Amino acid sequence: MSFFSLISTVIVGVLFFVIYFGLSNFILDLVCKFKSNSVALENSVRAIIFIAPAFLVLFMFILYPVFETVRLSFYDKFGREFVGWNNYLWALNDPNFRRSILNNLGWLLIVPTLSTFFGLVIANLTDKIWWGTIAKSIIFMPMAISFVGAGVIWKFIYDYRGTGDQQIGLLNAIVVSLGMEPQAWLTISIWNNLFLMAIMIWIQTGLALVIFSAALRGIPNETLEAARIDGASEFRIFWSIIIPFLERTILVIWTIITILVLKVFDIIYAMTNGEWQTEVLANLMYDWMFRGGGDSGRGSVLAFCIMIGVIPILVWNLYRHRQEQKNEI
Amino acid sequence: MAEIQINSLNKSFGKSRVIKNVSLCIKSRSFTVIVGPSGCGKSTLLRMIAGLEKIDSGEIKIAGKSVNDLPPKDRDIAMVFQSYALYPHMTVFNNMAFGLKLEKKSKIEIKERVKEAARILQIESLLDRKPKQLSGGQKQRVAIGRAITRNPKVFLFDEPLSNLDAALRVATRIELANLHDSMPDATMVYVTHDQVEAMTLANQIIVLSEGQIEQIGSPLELYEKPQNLFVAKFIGSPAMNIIPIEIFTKGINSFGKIGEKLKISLETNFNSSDMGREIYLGFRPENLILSKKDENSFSARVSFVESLGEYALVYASVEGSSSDHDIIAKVLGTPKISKGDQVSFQIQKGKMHLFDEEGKRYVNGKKQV
Ligand SMILES: Nc1ncnc2c1ncn2[C@@H]1O[C@H](COP(=O)(O)OP(=O)(O)O)[C@@H](O)[C@H]1O
Ligand SMILES: [Mg+2]
Repeated sequence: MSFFSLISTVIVGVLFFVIYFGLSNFILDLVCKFKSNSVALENSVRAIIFIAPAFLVLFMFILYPVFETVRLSFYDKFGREFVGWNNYLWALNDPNFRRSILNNLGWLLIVPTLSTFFGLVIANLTDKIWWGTIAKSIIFMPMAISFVGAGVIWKFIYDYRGTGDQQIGLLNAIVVSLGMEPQAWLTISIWNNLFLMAIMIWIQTGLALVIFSAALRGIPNETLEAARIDGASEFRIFWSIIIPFLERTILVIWTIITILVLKVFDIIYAMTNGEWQTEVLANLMYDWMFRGGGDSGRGSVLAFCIMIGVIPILVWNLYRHRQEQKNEI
Repeated sequence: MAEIQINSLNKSFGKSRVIKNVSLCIKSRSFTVIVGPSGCGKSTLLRMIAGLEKIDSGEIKIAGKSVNDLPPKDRDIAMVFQSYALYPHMTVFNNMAFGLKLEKKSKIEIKERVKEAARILQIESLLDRKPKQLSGGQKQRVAIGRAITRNPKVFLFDEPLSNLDAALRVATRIELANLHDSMPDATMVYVTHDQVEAMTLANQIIVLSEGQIEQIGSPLELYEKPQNLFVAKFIGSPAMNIIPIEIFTKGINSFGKIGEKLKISLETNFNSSDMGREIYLGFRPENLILSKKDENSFSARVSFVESLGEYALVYASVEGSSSDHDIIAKVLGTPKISKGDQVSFQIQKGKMHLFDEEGKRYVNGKKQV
């Protein structure tokens, strides 16, 4: 597509919506002027007018695919014949699927917790030193790197060459210089999962750090000083004053990272492709959906599983949000 | 026994000097109020006593011991902040118990001491609430309670009443005074910009202006013998009237002249070398009496009368040599005067304050005013 047609598409699109909103609003105003019904009705109609386009887009690109995925999970690999629960039964007995579930659970337990923890601690520490801002920027930097890019960087860290060869992997270089045997880190099962998680933690700590830093500014200085006068040590202040104060923020960050981790794909794909027992649901799904001819039935089952995992967290989040709003009123 | 001794204390924030070579002594068991306009460095001074602010130079001693290098918690002090600074997620009980828990006191003792403080402050029914569920006045009590439970030698208050409404402020002020009476061993240092609070609470007042001490003394001393123009204008409400005056005659009862025709006896002995000096005459609104025209009176034109029943505030202007000077008189009852009237005032005997060219109280040999 040429540059010109790209620009004109954008302009036409924007114009369309300007006209849509302007015109429908204008018509509504006119109608209401002559038929002065209740203000509540007018407001709700106006809300519908403004939400409708977004809702349509949402429906087309999110809700419809969800239904389609559920449907496909009951069909064969080509999406033609209805096969009942067969795909689900297959998944339950598939060792790779079980391994993925276990690994995903491991990721869920470790990554959000550690990222949040590191973010919180570092935010608190960098607040106290003059080069804190520099440290923060450095720690935040991985956020700007895509997961695949991060994977490539860390491949160099975990890289393995045979004994005797020059080790170009950072980790092995250190290990060898300490006089130990180099390891093929990514093939040591169980542990290799942790090595992969480290990458995600490396990236997400930056996110947590920045949000916590902002939230820390919200704590009134005098409250901390009162605690200091009361005789609290810095650690005690952190534990008894700062953490309770940041409770909401901690939950928000933990949730964001949890959802992200449930969908973790790129890192595994770039580093091990699920080999050596590092498989996770998203990578397994990709494998079935698009590799070796593709199996839309089994792929859909796996996609559905991921969604089922995310839903409780979303619901719980919405519930909390409602609760908080209620409390504030 | 917790006297606070401060020697040549200095503090700057960047380039601006906030505390300038301040030395003072806060007597043990006193209720000392540090008063001054906003931004004069009161909070900074208090925070340095608390150990929350580093000192640039000088020395602070509490109970005879230098505390320059002691952290706040080892200074045996408690502080009540203007913003209350309660711990938002803790109940009132835990807010008050926090310090005691850190001191590793037994559960029973903590409970007793919190209960006792709650009883004194009448907040027993609030112990299970969170700060969010309290009114401003209640929060303030909890903040004071938190200080009381720790039973420190020194209490530091930083404008604790300024977030309360007027009625509550008066009530709490009285309670604070009672609190000091009920804890005779405690030294209380109280910072405020409100001279009324200072006058009513203190037995010693330190007047601070731009990081310097203007005067230290009892409320009455400050009221009756302000050492300089700043204190004269700052203490008392409505403020003291100040008008420039030119020394006109010498001798035992020198006269000063305000305008060409206006001459007032200054009750002071000036020499011939003082002739023509421009000094300041101060007199409080309540020391003015309406009088007949005679040699000790001066006349003024009434510009406004505020009648409050019990007394009336008469705003008037005195004709000066270069410009007119506005004065206020506080006249008991309801005087029958109105806007535009020409009236004569007399300053009560012995109630004149004279300040020299630099604004220092004028003291002359035998006859000090
Ligand atoms: N942390 C700080 N950094 C820079 N300037 C400050 C700081 N704290 C106070 N100041 C300045 O010092 C002066 C005195 O402040 P403060 O002691 O709070 O006054 P007060 O309590 O008498 O109103 C003010 O001009 C204020 O702006
Ligand atoms: Mg202040």
